[in-house]
Amino acid sequence: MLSPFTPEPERLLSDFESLRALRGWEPTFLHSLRLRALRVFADTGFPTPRLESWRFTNVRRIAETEWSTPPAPGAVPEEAVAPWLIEPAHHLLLVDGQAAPDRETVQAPLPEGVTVVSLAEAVERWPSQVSHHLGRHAELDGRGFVALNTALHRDGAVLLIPPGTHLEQPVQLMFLASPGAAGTMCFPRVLVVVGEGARATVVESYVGHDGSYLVCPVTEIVLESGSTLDHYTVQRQAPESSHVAALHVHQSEDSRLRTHTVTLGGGLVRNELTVVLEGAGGEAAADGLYLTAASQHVDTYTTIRHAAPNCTSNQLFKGILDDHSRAVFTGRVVVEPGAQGTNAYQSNRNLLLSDHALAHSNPQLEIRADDVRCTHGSTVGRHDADALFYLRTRGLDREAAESLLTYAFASEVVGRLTLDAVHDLVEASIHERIDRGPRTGGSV
Amino acid sequence: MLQITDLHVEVDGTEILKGLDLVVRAGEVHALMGPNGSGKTTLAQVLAGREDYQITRGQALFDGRDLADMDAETRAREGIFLAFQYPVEIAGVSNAYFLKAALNAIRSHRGQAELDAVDFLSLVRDRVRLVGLDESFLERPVNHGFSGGEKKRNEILQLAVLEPRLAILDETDSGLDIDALRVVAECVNALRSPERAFLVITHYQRLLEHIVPDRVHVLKDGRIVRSGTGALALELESHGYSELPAAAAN
Repeated sequence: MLSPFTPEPERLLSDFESLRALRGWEPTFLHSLRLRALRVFADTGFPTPRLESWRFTNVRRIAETEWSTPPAPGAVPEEAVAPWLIEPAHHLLLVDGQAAPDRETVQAPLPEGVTVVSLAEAVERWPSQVSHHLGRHAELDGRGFVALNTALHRDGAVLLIPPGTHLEQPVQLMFLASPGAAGTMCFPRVLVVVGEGARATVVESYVGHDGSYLVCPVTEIVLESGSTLDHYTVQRQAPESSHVAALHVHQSEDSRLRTHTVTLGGGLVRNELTVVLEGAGGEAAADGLYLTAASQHVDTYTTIRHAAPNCTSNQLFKGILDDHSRAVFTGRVVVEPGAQGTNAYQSNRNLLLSDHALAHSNPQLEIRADDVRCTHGSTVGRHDADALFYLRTRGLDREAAESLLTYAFASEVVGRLTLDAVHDLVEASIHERIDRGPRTGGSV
Repeated sequence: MLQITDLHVEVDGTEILKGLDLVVRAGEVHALMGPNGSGKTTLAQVLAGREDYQITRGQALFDGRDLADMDAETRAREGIFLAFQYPVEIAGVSNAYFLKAALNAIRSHRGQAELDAVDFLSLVRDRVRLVGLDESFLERPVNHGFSGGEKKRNEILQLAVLEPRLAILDETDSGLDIDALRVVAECVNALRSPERAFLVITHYQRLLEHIVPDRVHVLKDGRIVRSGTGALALELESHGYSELPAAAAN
């Protein structure tokens, strides 16, 4: 057991050596990757609001906390996990960032050649495949949290879908913060490689017990040519916890990505999404929904890089903000020279349910090609007064009318959650959150 | 049923209604005509409970109760319905969900049991046919992406489902072709009953060929300047509003 440490750059190198001792043997590629990342972090440190990309989010509280590393995962009571399991699916449970030892990792039989294992196991069994992708896509430079994850991750998940394979059932990666997580930070690392022409659905779920802890995941996704991935992140951690996540997707030609980010919990949340469309004809659809209350702070930072011709990207992020909560959305669309025939859409809409909630919305377009269709829009506002009045003239009281309009606002994103199990889970969570007054009528 | 006395209403500090008097009894159909800006829509919105329209003098009684003491939803539950001139689009809520929520809010206010999905659907399907719409209409989001005519029909569908005692139609005929106009009129006529009253606001006499009013009123500059029978509407059609006095007492 390590003593608590603050990840101050100068102290990290010595801590790193003790962490290495704790982890035991690792292949050389991984060790050098960690060292490189650690040096980057030593140079960069934690981001501060002086950085343009972190202008509205201050992580001083994280930087100044004396975090400890999580204990080895113990047995997990079924009831902690059950409400969040989607069925049917292949499940992989990670407790405080590490594969749970008492669980069969994948329940239903996987198709031939499909790999769904913990990162630790993948490193041991398929080091060359892992080294081919791990750390190759998530940019380290200038990105303290990604560097820290790359240096310090202990475990995570690896999904390898061979070419031409259609994985029928979704894979759910369940990240659970245990009661022992209080005061700890963990760095789950996920690698997903979808082979040529293959199809898969992956759900990352982040849930947890009460307590103040930091979960800092990095997910790298590689979509080979002609592949399709439907990807979900659903986060419902404790209100005192922090969640700083980075998702990187690398797309080859004619690949299709749909990624959905649903934020329901966490006190301080940062979701970074980077998509690089590197092959012609790729399509990326990214949407997200954040429901914030109390003093939650949720920062969404997306970068869609069009690096090849005839690609399409479509972003829709919506926020519903209550109480004193804050939301930040920064959506960068970069169209590189040569990315002719680009279609890029971006929309960010924020609904304020309280006078004290605040949303910042910053679209950023960097277009360096000429044959480009690019549209963006952003709004921050209250419920539409005309719509409220209209509903009330039909007999709905103010609370019921507001709930209905809030739900209607969310439904544009919820409707895009095509995986029924996730759709229903999210819909139920939204109802629970917005139905403060007596409900009028049920569903038809 | 509705008794309006010396009603003065301000919108954003400007007086729009300047002493309006009107009595509508159960079973009657009243038509309210008048030039643009005379205050027709303001009256409709005030009666429906719009809060940013200030009543500065006078009153409107519904069954002897002062409307000023009732919020919009209470008026709806007590039986006032306004078919909007510009129905509001609500993306993300199906027409069926919306109608069921509205109907059940009103039913529970009346002490009636809420309808379940099955009973509701059988009722609403019936009414959808009455207004000449396809059943798929119920699954579409409220007024979202509807044509002008579909929006107006949707208002009449709500009227038919919610069965108010006082129905106010604010220029429901504008933007309707002659076939749609006939369907709307037939629907209104089918809903006429000794317990129900209508206040039909319109620019044009042509609607009144299909919905024959008991009384016609002309609103000008915030006051009713003339009242009469259906013949008054014909007179207006041929002479226009310009020859009418500017706010004389009737």
